[in-house]
Amino acid sequence: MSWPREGDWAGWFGSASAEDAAWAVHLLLGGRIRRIDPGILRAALIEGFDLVPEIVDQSVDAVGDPALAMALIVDTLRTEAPAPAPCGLRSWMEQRLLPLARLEPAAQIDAIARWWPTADLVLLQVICRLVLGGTVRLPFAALRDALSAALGLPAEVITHRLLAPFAPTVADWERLIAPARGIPPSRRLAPVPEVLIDTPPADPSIPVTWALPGPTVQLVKRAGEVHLWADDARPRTAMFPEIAALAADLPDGTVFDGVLRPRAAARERLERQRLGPRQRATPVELQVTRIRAGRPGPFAPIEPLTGDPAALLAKARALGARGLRWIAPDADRVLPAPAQEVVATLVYLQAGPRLVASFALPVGDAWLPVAKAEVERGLYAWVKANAIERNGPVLVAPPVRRFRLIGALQAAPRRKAKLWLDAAEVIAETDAPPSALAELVGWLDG
Amino acid sequence: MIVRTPAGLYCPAGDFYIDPSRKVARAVITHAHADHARRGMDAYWCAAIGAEVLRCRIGPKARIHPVPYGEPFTFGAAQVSFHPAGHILGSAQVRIEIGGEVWVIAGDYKRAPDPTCAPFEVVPCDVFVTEATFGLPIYRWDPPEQVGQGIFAWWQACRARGEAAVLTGYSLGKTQRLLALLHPHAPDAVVALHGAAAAITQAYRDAGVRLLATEPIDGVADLAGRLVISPPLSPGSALLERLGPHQTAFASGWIRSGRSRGGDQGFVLSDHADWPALVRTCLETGAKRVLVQYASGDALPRYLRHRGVAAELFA
Repeated sequence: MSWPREGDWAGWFGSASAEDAAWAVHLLLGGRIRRIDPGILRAALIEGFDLVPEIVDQSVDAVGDPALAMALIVDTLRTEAPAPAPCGLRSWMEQRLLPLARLEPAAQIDAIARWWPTADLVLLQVICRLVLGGTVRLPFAALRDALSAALGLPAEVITHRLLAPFAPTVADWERLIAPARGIPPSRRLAPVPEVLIDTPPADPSIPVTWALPGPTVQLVKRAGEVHLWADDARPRTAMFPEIAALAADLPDGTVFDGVLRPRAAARERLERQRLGPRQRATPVELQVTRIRAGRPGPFAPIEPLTGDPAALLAKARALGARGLRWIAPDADRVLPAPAQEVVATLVYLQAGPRLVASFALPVGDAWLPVAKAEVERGLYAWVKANAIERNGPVLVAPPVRRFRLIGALQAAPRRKAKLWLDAAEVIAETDAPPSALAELVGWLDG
Repeated sequence: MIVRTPAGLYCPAGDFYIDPSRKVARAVITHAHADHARRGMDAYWCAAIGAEVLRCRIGPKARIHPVPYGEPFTFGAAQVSFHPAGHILGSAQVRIEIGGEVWVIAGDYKRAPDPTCAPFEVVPCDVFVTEATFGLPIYRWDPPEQVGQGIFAWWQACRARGEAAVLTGYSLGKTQRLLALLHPHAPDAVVALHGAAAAITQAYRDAGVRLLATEPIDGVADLAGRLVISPPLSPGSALLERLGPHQTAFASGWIRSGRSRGGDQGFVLSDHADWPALVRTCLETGAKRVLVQYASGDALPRYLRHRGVAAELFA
């Protein structure tokens, strides 16, 4: 068993068993094991190499990284070159490292000293880092590219699959390497999916739109409600009541992109929290630029993009457009992620100028937060009366009240749930069962 | 026999200094690195084979007395001789004998093989004054041939991409060691060499050391795929700007502990003794007392005491 250097992971994954590869992905994503007392490792070095404690301490101080220092000490003082054991990463993890924390200190020292002859310097560093409670995380892009190269899957597919929780199991590895079902949508992680062009593509199937000046938005009519999303994924419906009113009669399922005009007035509204008389004084309208579903109804329809290139550009100029905008064929969501509804349970409430609640989904015994949203004042009294715990201004609510939330579902690798309902709004309280996290992850996965 | 003074190690019985840092009348020099050999002394004594290198560093007018390794000479009551230290060309341990007591001042030394200089010689003594630049049990060097192989592979990878391979190291010692280390891999290659190392490299050649051929970097129009050896360069330096696409690598012992970065790649290659070599050397000299200098801590004397050798920092 050896641990490859950062640039060599593609080759490693290409020849690893599924069990070993699953452990590698888990660790490279930042997986940890239960740490042992650093004093145990120090004692193992002192005992194993007949050292003086101060020498170990000086070495750690000089390197500034205890795991690296301890690995270097072993590598410096052992008298024979390491002879790597034939076992794989899974065996290392499941038979050696994971059971370590359950051993008595003396047995821990013995166990650690037994591994030294079978680990080269790189593997020693990995072991020391893990048993000291650290991680051997690889930069995400490096891991993604290594897997993409080894598995022959597009990087975007790997990205989305890695955003789901990953356990070091063959099942999760097989989910990772399954054939791609198409490029998944990714607003944050894909390259900018639009390119300004001055010549329409010859292939009529490649979508283009007018590159009109003005803030871009997406209008969604869903479950009888209108949502207007700014391109930073914030719902801004309340700031544009005239557009919401016009859209009220659109059929459910209508989705289109557009720009707001006049530009200055629209920007001011997008940036403000509340709609004041000054903002109301200048009406804002929506110019449709791309219909994704349905018809534009009362909104200014998109100009047909037909004609020869010269005529198209002339028309673009007449419309005040900067030109044409090519939309990357794989980009399902050029604008904000389409609104997604999630049923989640209220778990925390924080009082302040606004009453903000955290909502979570149950996974086993745990509650994984998936959204934050402002709630009605009336809820405060109930939470205060029933709070399980109080942490400063945060009240911990009993997880019994569920709400329908709407927001932009995003992959969120740093969060426990691995996703987050961005800019969520509460629609209503509900008795419906909570959304299944796996389904939401699947939705994100495309 | 030897005392520390503000000007450096001083032998009162012989009235001379070893590697003095201030102007003195008689300077016994262990080797020509700038922190050991300084301009302005009235007269210098050094190992004969390193005299030209020393002259390159301290100027043509310096009064240098070259003495072959092992040949004793006398200062007052002190009998002095130079013995190979294996650090760089002409590096020497200084053996001093007064009234039957022997001290050896090792200067900088290494035990690893180096084709550019004579190998370290264990000199039995009563008191051994050792360096401890890498005096922690985290420093162990891989065999130099293995490092040479790694450097050559890196150079070839740069070459395949059409990039210049810029290898940086100190202009005295490390540069020439790299040129010698790579010789077996590409005996016909011509390395683009920074001007700062040109004269010293020629002094090595004049002393009979076999090195890769070099040419001044300024005379090379297209450096794509070429190996460039240079003293450490700051990012954005004019030279790097001129090179076009390139990769940089640094060769130093400090790479081992991650204390030295500043390149795309690092190679652990040192002209100092690693921890095992320091300990082994102190024991092999049979010294009853070991004094440790150039150390950032007291790990080496502590360890030697733990092994039953009277050792302390030379303070």
